[in-house]
Amino acid sequence: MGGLLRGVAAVAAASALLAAPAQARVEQADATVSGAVTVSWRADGARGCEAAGLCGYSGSLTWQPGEQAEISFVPHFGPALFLESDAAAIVRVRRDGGATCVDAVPGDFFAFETRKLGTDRYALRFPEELSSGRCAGPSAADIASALPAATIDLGAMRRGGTRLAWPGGPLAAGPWTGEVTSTLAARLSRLRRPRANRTTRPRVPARLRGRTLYRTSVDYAYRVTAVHGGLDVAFHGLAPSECVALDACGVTGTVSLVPPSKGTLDIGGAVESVKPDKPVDELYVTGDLRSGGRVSEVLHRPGAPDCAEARTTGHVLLGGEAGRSRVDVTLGAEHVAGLELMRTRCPGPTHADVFARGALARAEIARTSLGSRHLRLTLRVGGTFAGAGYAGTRTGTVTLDLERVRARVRHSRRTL
Amino acid sequence: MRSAVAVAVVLAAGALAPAARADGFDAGSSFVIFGGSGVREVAQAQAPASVSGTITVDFHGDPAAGCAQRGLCDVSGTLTWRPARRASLSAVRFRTRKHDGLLVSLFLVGDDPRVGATTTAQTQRTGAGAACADVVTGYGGAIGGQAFGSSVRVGPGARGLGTPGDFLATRCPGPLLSDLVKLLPSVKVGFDDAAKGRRTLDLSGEGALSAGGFAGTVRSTVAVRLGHGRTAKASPPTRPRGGTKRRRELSAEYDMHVTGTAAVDLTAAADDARCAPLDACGQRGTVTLTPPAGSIETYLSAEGPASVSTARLRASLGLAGGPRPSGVRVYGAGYGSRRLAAEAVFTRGGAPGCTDRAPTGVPGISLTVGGGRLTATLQGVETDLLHTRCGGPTMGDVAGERFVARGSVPLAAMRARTVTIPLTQGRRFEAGAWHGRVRAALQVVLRREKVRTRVFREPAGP
Repeated sequence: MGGLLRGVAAVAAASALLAAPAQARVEQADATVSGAVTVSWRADGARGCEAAGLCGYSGSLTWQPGEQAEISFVPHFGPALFLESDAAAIVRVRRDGGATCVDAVPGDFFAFETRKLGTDRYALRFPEELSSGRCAGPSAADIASALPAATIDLGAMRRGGTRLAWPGGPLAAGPWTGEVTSTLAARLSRLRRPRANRTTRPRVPARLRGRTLYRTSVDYAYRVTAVHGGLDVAFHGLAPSECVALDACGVTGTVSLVPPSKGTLDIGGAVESVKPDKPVDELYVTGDLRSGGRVSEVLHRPGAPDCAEARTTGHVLLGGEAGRSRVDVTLGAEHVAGLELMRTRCPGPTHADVFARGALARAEIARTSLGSRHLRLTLRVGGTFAGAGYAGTRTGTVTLDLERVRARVRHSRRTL
Repeated sequence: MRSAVAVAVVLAAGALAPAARADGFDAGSSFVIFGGSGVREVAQAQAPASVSGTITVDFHGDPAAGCAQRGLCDVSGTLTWRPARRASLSAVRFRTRKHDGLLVSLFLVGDDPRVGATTTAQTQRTGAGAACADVVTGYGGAIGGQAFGSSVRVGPGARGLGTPGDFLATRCPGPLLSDLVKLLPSVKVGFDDAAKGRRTLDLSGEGALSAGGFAGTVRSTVAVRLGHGRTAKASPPTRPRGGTKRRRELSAEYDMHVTGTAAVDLTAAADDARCAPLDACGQRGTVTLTPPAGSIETYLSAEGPASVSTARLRASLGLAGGPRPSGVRVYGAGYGSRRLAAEAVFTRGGAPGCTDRAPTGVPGISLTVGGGRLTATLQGVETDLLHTRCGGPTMGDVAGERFVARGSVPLAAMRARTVTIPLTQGRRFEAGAWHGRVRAALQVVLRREKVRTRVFREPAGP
């Protein structure tokens, strides 16, 4: 029986691959990246550094990416340019009359944002990935906005290779005035369609031919109608051997996060079996919150004005996983590259310092409640953290009120 | 030692499954490959670990330590090394014909800069009002050792396996790891420590530095807390399941000698925003790399289906004439054990600046075949070949993952027993605070010693 089940699983998996969206319409080009980005900033009284408690700070960021990049184009979705680089951006920030904060901001996967300009023409905006890290300085959104978008013409690319460039420009964001110097460029080959794979239907083993394969899929979609509560982080600088490099000695502070107030949550999955009505054990949990989230920070350094800054959060992902009887829902999906919900323009710990694995808060619901017209999730966080330069505590509760949009259980079958 | 025990330690899925998460540790696992005759693995053990603390070096230029001849008397600062927070202690008992031995490694698991090792430097020049600040991230590494006996010293101060890189290297001036390694802590570890775990390895300590032009204090607060350990008895290698296919490999073994030099000419960026954070404004200079004397064991191999004859594989390596078959993989490299020497001579604003000479890293030469030519490439990806006490750009800044120097000869030249490959192609670089070029004047001389052929089976694959 074990061999039968393994055989069924193999045939089902191979069939799923054949059902994937047609690859023939995808166009691809090779890309090689070169150059570097240097950002310099200083606190500007005319831009309100005094109110933010950031006067006297000045700094720089340097980033030299690796060469590997890839660009593909799918009709309807537009071009997608991805750059993989494990080169960290180095941030150096001086405080007048005080110390220097030095930090490495890890890079990973840069997905350039696309905006259509016309037929076959798109703007590729630098992603919000480079920031001042744990030091005082511009946010990732500030730096991305200072780099003019590159323009790509897919029609020209189908005729031959092309070169994209992201030149620098002035930086004026929050209390900062500065400059972005960029020689960042990508050399792209001709856009072409990859050779289509000759896929064939999977060969069904003789012992399985004629058997019936039953498929069960479940799909629960919810709309987030209200969000209450928030999360709080209290932090302090660590001992001198650990705080000096980040100029965090003797500081204390708080970060408060109020999540966005609208969103969606989808929970679903599917299973195939030779037995009818096999329960769907593995479920995906995905969603996001958007519209109106805010993170605010106050940092206190003895003998200096308090630094106080706030910004909007942008989308906050929802994630989780399901067991046989419970569904675990998280605020913030785990192991998502580039996730940063803690940082403001003030110095302080990063998201990874505070929340290590990525999720900010968790809730559990019974699987039997899936499909209910209304759900209430109470996501909680607690505990302590100790990261580079900072340690502290996490507290808070976020409540999500959900209204069902769709609840669907489907059964189908086919003969092998 | 090397003739009796040829050891390579790698971090991979192996005989020991990852340790249970009851401790909250997320352990990697490792296995040790043994080569050489008469060496047998007896048992393996592994314990997950968490690492805390840092190593801090406070230093200043000191005439008694030789700062004057290096131009470093006005330099002072602090270096801080923060190791990766997750680790895995692995121990292997092995037996040779005459001895029992123990191989121990503490793997610092840093596959993400968020939890990897960082080295931070903050230095200043007295009277100049200028400061250099830098941070270098690392992805982990191993600190360990091997010995005939029942215990091994492990720690940053222990004589480790191979030739470790300088984990204190940054772009700012400062002491080398070799200046203070004797002051760094180590602790004795036995097989039972990995097998049972539940022990804290105390790597704390303090010492006075006086070497390489600098004096100061070295302070360590590093501690390694071991979780539950596990053991596994050595098991014979299992035959791969499923179908296999026969492959033929031809390997030509060479003695390689590298002579000449590669010089990195650098000039500081004119833009203050780029040069000031590293106190590089007005700086010019040259770092000259001189390869170590002595021969380097080198191989060049061709591998293909067993249906490809030995004669055709010889043609793939240029050892014989004739058409080169498709579907044959050709690869080769030479790795020595000695470090090359880097000599830095810098000026600042036209006046003499820092000068220093230091052994840096072990150079690697890769050999590739393509387009009817054999290309030899000097790379410095694994260790920073440029690092001296003067600071300056790293090899990563200069070459990244690309070549430092390279050259090629027609593949037909490999028919001769001795082949000389001039490496004269350098490169230009633009590295934030500095720009410049690599002037390569190296020669690789390959003398063929042996040619071996073997046929083996490997899994046929999915």
